Amino acid sequence: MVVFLAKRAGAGIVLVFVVTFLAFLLTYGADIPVARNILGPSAAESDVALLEARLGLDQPVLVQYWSWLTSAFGGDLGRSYFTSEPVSAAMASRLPVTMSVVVVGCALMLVISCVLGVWSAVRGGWLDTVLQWVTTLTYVLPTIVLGIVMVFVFAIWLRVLPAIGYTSLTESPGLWLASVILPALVLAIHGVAGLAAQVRGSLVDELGKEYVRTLRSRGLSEPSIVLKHALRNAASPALTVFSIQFITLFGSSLFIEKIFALPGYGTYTYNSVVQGDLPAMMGVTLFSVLLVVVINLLVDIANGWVNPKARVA
Amino acid sequence: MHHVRTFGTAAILVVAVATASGCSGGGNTPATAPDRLRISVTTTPNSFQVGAWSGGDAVTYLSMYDTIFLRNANGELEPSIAEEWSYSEDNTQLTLDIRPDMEFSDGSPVDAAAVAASLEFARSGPATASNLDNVTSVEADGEQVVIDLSQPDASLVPALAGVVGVVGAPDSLESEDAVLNPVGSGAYVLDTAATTAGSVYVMQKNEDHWNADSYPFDTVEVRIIPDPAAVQNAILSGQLDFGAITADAETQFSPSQFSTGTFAPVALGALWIADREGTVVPQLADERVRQAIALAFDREQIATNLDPGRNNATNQIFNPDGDTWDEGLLDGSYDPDRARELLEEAGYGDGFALTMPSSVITTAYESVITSSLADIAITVNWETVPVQNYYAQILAKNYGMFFGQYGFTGFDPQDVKRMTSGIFNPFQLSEPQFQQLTTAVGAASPDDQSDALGDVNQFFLQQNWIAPITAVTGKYAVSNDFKYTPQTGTANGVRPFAPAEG
Amino acid sequence: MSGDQLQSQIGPVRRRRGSFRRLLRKPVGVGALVVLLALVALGLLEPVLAARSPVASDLAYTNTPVGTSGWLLGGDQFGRDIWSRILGSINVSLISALIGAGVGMIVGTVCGLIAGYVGRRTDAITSWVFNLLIAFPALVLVIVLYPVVGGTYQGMMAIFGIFLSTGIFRLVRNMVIIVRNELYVDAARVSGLSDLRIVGRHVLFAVRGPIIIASAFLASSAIGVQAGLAFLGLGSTQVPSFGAMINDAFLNLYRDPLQLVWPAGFLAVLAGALVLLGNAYRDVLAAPQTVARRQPAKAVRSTPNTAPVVGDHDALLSVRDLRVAYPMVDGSRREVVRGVSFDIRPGEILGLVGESGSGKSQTAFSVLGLLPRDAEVSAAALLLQGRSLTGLDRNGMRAVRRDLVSYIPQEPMANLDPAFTVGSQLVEGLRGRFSKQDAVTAVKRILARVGIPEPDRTFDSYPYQISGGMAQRVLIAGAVLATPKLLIADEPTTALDVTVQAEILDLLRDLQTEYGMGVLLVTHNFGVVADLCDRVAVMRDGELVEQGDVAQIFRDAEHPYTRELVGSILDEDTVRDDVPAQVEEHR
Repeated sequence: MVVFLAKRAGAGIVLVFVVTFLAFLLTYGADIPVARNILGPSAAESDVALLEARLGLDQPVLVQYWSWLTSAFGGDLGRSYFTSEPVSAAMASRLPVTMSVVVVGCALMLVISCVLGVWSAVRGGWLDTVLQWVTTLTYVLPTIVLGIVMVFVFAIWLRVLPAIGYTSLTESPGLWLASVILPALVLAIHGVAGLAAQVRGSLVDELGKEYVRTLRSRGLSEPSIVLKHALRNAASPALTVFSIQFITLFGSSLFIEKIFALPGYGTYTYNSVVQGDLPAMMGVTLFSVLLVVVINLLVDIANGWVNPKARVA
Repeated sequence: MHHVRTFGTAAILVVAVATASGCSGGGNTPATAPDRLRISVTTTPNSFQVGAWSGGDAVTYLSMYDTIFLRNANGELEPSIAEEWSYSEDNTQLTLDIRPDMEFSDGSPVDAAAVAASLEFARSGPATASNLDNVTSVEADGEQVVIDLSQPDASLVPALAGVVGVVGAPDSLESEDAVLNPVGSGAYVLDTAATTAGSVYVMQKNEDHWNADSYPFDTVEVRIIPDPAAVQNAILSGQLDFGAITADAETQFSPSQFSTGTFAPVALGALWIADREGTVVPQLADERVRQAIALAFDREQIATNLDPGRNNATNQIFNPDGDTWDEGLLDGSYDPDRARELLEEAGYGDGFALTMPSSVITTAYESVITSSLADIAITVNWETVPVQNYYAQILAKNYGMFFGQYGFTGFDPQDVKRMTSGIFNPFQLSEPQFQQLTTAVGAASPDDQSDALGDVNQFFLQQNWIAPITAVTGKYAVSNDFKYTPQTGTANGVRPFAPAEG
Repeated sequence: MSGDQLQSQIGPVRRRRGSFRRLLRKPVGVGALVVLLALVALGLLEPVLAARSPVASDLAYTNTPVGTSGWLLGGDQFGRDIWSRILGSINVSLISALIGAGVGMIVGTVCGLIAGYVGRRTDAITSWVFNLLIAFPALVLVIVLYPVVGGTYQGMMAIFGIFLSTGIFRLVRNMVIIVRNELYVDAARVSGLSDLRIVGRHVLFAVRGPIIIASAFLASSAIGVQAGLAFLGLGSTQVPSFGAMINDAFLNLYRDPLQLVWPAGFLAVLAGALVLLGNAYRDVLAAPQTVARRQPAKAVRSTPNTAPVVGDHDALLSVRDLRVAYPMVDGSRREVVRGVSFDIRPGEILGLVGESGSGKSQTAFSVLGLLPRDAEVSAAALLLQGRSLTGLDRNGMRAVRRDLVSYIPQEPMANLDPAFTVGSQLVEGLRGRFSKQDAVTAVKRILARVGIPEPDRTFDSYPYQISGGMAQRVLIAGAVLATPKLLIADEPTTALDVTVQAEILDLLRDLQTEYGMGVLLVTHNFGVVADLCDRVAVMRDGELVEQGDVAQIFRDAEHPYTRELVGSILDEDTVRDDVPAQVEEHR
């Protein structure tokens, strides 16, 4: 198992290199006039040249990449061109925000999907159809619309939750939860369709298997069979889906952050790309790839727990 | 802050969608005591270093630094770091008397030497260099600072009332720390513990400030919120004390809790007819064609119908709130028949086509520009340009004409210079007559300056380098615990805000 | 979308003919299809239906309400006709879907075919590249390349389509490898037809179902992404799009909330129709039994309106006129067990014999109450220890299964939960009555009793760690653990090696004697009957044709069918005089 994980980790590191280099090249190739965008329309060309020299933008691409790479190894991801904030500090302050929303959202999504998926798998019939319609609707309804409705109802009308902003967990758990629950709920509702369908499908498959019948023949209770036995076996494919959904949620948190004015990772990513903020962009790309590698490793480990046969694979 | 970041107003923004944030330190404390002001801006400060401020709402910058002069609510200059000042006879030497007993936040004195060092540093700062391009030297002389100019420049003194004129402690000028944590002598000091860069900036009052009484708030909290809808929601939910709102949303702000009003004009929305030599669009070299274009717009209807409350009719380049603007000159600014006549005279009776760049800056106005020009047989093709390349594409001389939004500084002479430089003059044309007029403005005595500016106004009305369409403004809402006095320009800091009386 | 995610969304698939026809029979399928076609029609008819260009503005009509003459859905804040913009947006979305899903499908299929077919090295490289694609933040790439593709939404969708191709790639590649391996063995025998054509034909035929479903989801995904990008402002202002319309409507929200409803609604309906269509088609392709087998069966009905027939109350199990039927797709009913009656006395072993399809397993499961949900079971009498099982609800049957009746299945490995240790599975059945300690001890004791050499180690083992024979012993242990009165064994030795069969039969005989259980032994093997059973009942086509003592049946069966079956048993005294069957040349 350890060897297996080590090999996967190694492949992951290679992936990191390739992806960051490609991203660098692509952004550089997009040729965004960063200095001009920082200084604004009225600035003279001479001013722009001054800033470019200061930011090191006048150097050849490979030199820029190499200097980024060597600093990155030392833990220094440089400073954002636009906010002058150290990239690592910026990401460190923004990641917890998005993480909070995504983790809480995923937890909610998991719970709701399991309940819906199990219910729909076991009962079937009209309930199944209704749930399918509802989840499809929540899936295709733009998260943006859902988000705005939430803000209006809970923050402006009822005034029970904040409309914007984020309070960190260490500062106040209560306020933290209040600031992330609405965006998390929006994300969860949106993702339920896919995951619930997945749970339902896998569970239906499991319940059709012979060992379930044999367990029933021993007089075990239905809840025990469904929840303890079948669900656990159904978890394996669901886990893979869930992990992908986690990464996707991470990437699409951008829209939520825009509506709720959360200083999150998604917005940071989007802005860094759109503005051509190379240091920030490299930072987020690096993190994205690392995230994927780590999540995949975690899924491998989790699969090993859920599916004993996989442990020796 | 009092600057309206309306959807579409992006001339002074880097990009329409800029770095986001919300709060992290400071929390969502409700404003029960009006000794704390909570406002927001749409763009993250790029750098707090002297000479590096990149534009955008400078409320934080100007709260932490003092400037050479101050701009008051009437648009007049007042003393700040310079207690007194005077020009030489020919307006090529400016002498500043430095206020005594001022200190930077690190304890070092704000003396003539410090001021001179700071200004000298600004001469090579990327954001300030071209504003000081007529300066040949800056010297400290006892308790005075003497600035020598190569020619009279009326924009210099106004500039020194804004971000160009900030003074930082000599030791901090080149230090990296100053990027995020400046050392100034301003009314406020950055509370680094409560501040999260890119998200929320918290400033505490500097009680030793020379003008401490004019700043009623102990704490100022500035959040970065680029999304206008989020700003509105934050005001409604009680997390912000003030912010820009859309005219449609005004009814949401009940008078029992909020007051609403209109900002002073923020920006000029105009067509810059930059290709006066006809390189890209030959027709634009002809004065009559340019005049026709200017006559094609029903500015009153635009002001009334297009996003009501946001647009004000104007055909002059100057700030309607300023002294030079003349409402009387608006008459006859819409005359499509005359426009068609002019085009006929110029030989383009059948009209012609041209291409203009399209991005978020132009979206709101595209349809009305298209229809108005179509009315005089000019076809506009909008070419999508990613907003981050917008300036570069214009500078690359790809377009003969473009629609832009220029943010007013609050000083007419400074505006003249800035709205004809950078991307606003992509073909880098320099016209002798224009040079003369601007030099005249600079050389004029304070009494004669308004006449000189009037001449500039007339010049533009005849030459139509720029076809102004609207003065962009917007609405704001402020909690009833506070009072806000609309002021135009970018040099006002937190001075427009005060606790509500009674 | 990865291959796993895609696969899981698609589920198990079997090729069926007429699947499209069956899709049309599902209300969800028809509904979604109709909606989709309606929207396509609207888009195609845009030149006719739209009153004016989607980008033309007339300031006199800003925010004009719905129903203004000539402005069907009103005007937006720029004076543009909302209805015309909706029609334009539909087209943009449909084109986005076509490009995104199309590129995804083509790239994924082609690369999957190449990766699976050409060779190991190519496969490794291609798979690695696609892993790279999955890891690369798609949103970042699309935004970065936005200026490169000139800001056109078609270009961005093409790029996004490449990201969508990863799922299809894996699907096709896996399928190619499977098919290729199957054919590999026969490669030498194949002449004329190239491998590539075979692979291509087989693979494409096999994956067409999943690909159709996948394309529905990919299309929906592409539509959503295009809308999102337009919402953020990435896209030409000259192109109407739901995303751009939603963005505009937000800024206008307080003035005219209705303007938000139109683009959000149409977007949701379009994407929703695609998703529902995909779901419906997937359900059509999936095996129908999975729906039915989920739940434990309904109660056994008492046969109505027959003359009162009384079962034998002294017997352990008494069955009278048992009938099992299933509803067919065309509405009719098919009876698989037709009026079967028999008794089992306490301690007696009854063999239930018959060929495949005779209904013997169905009979056995009826007694257990473990038939699929859609089975219709009825009996004039179904008595266990004199108590009637008819009309017992689920909890009642569960108690019966827990305490009185046990079951030994045919396939040992398939009947153990792979996620739990052997021991814990067995312990669970005892938990109601015993403490954990006692249950564990009891289980270990039973494991030893059924002949497992190292009971402790087996107790902690997972099913995949033990052999088939051991597994069957475990299942037998599980069955007798609760000291049942009646044991139902369904072909308990069929799946085992010959050497192990005899041991298992011995074990069963010993246990039966020790516990004094009645046994219903379902088998098609007369040898087993001869070995173990006291009496035997013969079934054919759902009916019981004969029953009686084993010795008597063997010696002198009455029914011709029974005689045929008995006669077909091979022993050392019999010489077959029928001609051996020809073994067909396997191609």
